[in-house]
Amino acid sequence: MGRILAIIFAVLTVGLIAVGTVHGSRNARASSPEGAVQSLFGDAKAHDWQGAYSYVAASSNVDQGGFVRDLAGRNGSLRTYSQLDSVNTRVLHESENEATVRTEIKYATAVGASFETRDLKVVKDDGAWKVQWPAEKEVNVPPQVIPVNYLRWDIVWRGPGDDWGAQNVENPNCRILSMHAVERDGALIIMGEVVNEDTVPAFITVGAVLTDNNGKDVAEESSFDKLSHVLLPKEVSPYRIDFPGIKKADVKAVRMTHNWMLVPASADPVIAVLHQRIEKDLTGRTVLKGELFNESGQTVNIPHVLATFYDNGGQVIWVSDAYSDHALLPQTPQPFSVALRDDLAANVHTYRVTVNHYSLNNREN
Amino acid sequence: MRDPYYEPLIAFAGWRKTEVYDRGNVSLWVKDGIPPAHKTPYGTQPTAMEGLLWGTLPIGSSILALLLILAFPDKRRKLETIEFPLNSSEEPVLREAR
Repeated sequence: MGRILAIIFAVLTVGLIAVGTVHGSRNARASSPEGAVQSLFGDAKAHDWQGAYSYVAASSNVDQGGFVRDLAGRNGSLRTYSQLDSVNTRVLHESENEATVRTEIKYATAVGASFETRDLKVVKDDGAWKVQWPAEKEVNVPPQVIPVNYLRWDIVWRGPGDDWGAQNVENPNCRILSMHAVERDGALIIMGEVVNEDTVPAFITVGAVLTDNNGKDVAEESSFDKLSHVLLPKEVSPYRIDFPGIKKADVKAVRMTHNWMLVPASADPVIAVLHQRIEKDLTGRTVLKGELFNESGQTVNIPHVLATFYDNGGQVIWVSDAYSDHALLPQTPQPFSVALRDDLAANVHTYRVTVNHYSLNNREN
Repeated sequence: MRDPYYEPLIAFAGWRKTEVYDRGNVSLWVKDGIPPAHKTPYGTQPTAMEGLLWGTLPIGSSILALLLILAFPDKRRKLETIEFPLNSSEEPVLREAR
């Protein structure tokens, strides 16, 4: 009796393992357009790239490698520092063999949450719904020599062998050009511009301390990444400091804090901003769109766009920023989009875009 | 910093890489202009007695617990070996039913 039981359990175990293996290697067929999109991104989130690719329609003309690079990033871009967090889908249009699914994708990245909205076309392929993946065109920069004649500032600091009274190099002169406080969405926001008035580069930080009606300090914040920390000579950067949960009526005074430091810097890479315009995105929100063009010969891995919006009087009314999840390859334009508050769009008279950057092989980083 | 994943975050937040060690595996990042720690009068300040209690009661309760454990150790159970099966010379009372 005991031997029979052992044989039965052994057969059962082998059978269950076989069933599990077969079930795990074959993805279920999507029975709805939304299901196909959800399954694709569900597998991508689990890094099951083969499973995710099985939901891509053959008519997409994208190989698995290109598909994976679209989702996982390439060239050391921000996407390569990201993890797919969540996906919300909504069917915009559906017919018997074709549908359009609006997909809002949220990535958790090294610099905070990143959002992307795509309208994906889903088609019925051999009885199952599959996503027609819009393959990104991979850019290959042709072999070439790019002459670079940018300015660069190196610094020789006072050494231990110098005379005791020897003067060290002086810190640069910078100035806060403007400061404007507004209350938006339950937060007090301090914004404005800062300029490097010197002939040497500066490393800057800008902060603010809020004082209440009794003269006590109630909050202190810095601009964090809403600022270009390295300013070349005569360069202007916007700044924005957020104080969540603080009302303007509770604040009597704002004390600005800053720090200017001399640092080695270079004007390379030069990033041009082209074709700037304000328009609506897929979801109907107002955005500032344009293209970034890397004029140098080195790849910029993570571009960071800072946009300053001015009213008729030239006052800064909003500062917004966005990280691009695509690397800037040399001599290759890359689109960008920065959100603008809908309630401010009508008041915007002019705007200015500056670009921060992070490069893996840049010693100034 | 050893994990390069966080490099973009601190680079954009205003930190600067100044030195690298271990063939580039570890990097030193600095942020200039950080003011020294200072007392900030945010919110309601605790009274002197509350401060004394917060400073003594939490750590004091832990020390008291340790002292109680040392002062009153658990009673050790006596080990008693019982032989099994019991050896008995007497005839069993029960008989198998026939």
